[in-house]
Amino acid sequence: MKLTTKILAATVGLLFLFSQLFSIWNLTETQRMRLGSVLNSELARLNASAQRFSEEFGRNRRYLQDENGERFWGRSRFQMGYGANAALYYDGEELSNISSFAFDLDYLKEHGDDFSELQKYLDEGVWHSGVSALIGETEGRKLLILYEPIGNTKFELIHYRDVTELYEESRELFLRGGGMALALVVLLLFVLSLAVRRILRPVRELSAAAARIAGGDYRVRVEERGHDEVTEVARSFNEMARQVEGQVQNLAATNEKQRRLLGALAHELKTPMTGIQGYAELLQRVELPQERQQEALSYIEQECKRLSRLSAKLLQLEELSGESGEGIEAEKKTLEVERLFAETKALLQRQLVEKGLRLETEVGEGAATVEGDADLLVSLLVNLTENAVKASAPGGTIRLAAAKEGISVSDEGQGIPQEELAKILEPFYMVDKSRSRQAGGAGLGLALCEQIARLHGWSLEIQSKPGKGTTVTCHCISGGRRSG
Amino acid sequence: MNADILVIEDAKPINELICINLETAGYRAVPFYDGDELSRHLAEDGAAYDLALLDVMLPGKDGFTLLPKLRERQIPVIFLTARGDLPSKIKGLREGAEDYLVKPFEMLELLVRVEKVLDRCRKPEEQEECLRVLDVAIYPKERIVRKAGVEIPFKPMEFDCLLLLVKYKNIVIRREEFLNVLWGVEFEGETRTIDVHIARIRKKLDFGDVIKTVPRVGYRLEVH
Repeated sequence: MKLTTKILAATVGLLFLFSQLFSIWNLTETQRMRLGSVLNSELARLNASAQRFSEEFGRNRRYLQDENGERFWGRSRFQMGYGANAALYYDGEELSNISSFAFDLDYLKEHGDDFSELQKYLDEGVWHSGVSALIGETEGRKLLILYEPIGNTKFELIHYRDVTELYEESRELFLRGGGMALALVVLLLFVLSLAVRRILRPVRELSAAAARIAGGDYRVRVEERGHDEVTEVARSFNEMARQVEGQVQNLAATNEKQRRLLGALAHELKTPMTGIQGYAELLQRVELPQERQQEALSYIEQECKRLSRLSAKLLQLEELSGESGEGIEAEKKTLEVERLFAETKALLQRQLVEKGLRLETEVGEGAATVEGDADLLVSLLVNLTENAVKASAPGGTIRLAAAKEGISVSDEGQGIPQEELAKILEPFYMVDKSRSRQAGGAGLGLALCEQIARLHGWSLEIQSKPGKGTTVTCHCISGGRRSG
Repeated sequence: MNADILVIEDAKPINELICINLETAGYRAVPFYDGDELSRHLAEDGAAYDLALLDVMLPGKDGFTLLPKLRERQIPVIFLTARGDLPSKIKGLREGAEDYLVKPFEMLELLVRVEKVLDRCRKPEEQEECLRVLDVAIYPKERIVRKAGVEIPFKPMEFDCLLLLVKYKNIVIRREEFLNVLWGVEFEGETRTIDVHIARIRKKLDFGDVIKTVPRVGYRLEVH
């Protein structure tokens, strides 16, 4: 059952029950009061009648010889002055009764009601010992019947009063009240259901929003109006939705990045694979001239070497980019920049000589040392310098410089077009694919450098002008902060 | 088998590889390494080409841009690319390429596709009726072999093996490739039947020296 229905049923049901109970109690009390007052006046009238009759009988008694005489006097006297709503009996025998009812005296005397619940409405002394009264039902009418033997005589007096109306009025009132209450209940039901629906609307909205989120629509938010508990729930709900959306977006971004990386890797593998497979097949199938055979073999060797370099770099990148693995945080030691430069130069000596390039180094004031991992830093410098070597024209100059703002590698090479700058940190991205590949590149160098910088808590800045050259600065000295 | 084929591929070793393959099969290959260079060449030079092998990702103009220019010159195009996904294939073929070959590819596959496209695009009167090796003439349509003008009886399978060797002379045909052609399915298992057929062909045509056995690989018909 719905909450709305529950609330409505409980409220309206209880209200109806209580109102009816009150109405019944109220009507009963009213009826008692009215009956009491009727009884009171009837008793008074009966007492007065009995008193008067007794006095008159006393005055005339001596003229009446026998019982028949008393009977005769009684009947005629009664009919002349007492007949309304009354009957007269003599020694249990009916003398005068002009009503349409017949009364059973014995029953009256035995089953007289004491009307204890009406006593509080009666005047002092109206109810005395000889009187017996009851409410009887005859011919569909309710009668209040009072009986009193007249003292010192054989006369007995009955008064009655038709109280049917009184009871019927009560019943009618009860029914009318019940009908009214019912009508009110229906109205209440209507108003209350509107109200409750309104109160519960935010809850319904919450539930609908939750369903949509479950269905994958993470942008859903609910309105936060008012200041009640439901609003608090709505606020928490929105906060939760925001978190979930953020997480899902992160996941999607990571996923997309990995997918791109994998796609790029697969594509990157295809060119060397095509060459290796093609040349191997050629060697196997065709009798090539000696020179061609040597070319094919050296190409196969060269591509295999490139693949193994690629896999080594990929592994390094993978190791460095682990989100939660241990031992990933860069080891921080104080290193001499001069020594790092020398090591880089030594590692790249052959390539530098081949292309006839000059490598200048410069260590500025306050930049003689750097905090970091020696192997990673050399790797970073070698990768950056390798890029510079590839970009430079034969005979050019490459500068390694350490200054307050960081270590930078500059070349006078071809530069990077402005629109490519944003993409060059992506793995496998190459500005000039065919040239880079011929130069033995895999498109991983800068991605690796960025990763190394990130592990140290540093940032990479690339400045480039096409045709003029490129400077990559690693903000590792004064801008360095401890990585978390 | 005479045809001039453009090879447009930016990776130099791959370009050379394709050229060697084509030249071995008797075609003339003309290499290009970037899109701009090719489109300049097409604009300046009126030379006729029979086919173009076109890489999609090229420096300068890419393959999809070059395709309409080549088709304007009535040069059929086979796309040669690392992109093996279906949308790229469909795009290439829809835009008018004759075929689509995904890297890495096998040599024989390349040659068969080149041959098929050339066949399809060649005018009927240019189609060769007879293949000649030394003093042997082979008529593929009639399925007749003549040596020095004398017809020599060939069984169907022997004929198919001979045809394959002659079509791709100077290239080793692997035993499983023979089986593939003979039965039309990937056949793994007894490849010795091929040796029997080859032995018969050698005997019938006196090709003992012409058809060379390459150990553990297959056979090569050598003509220089």
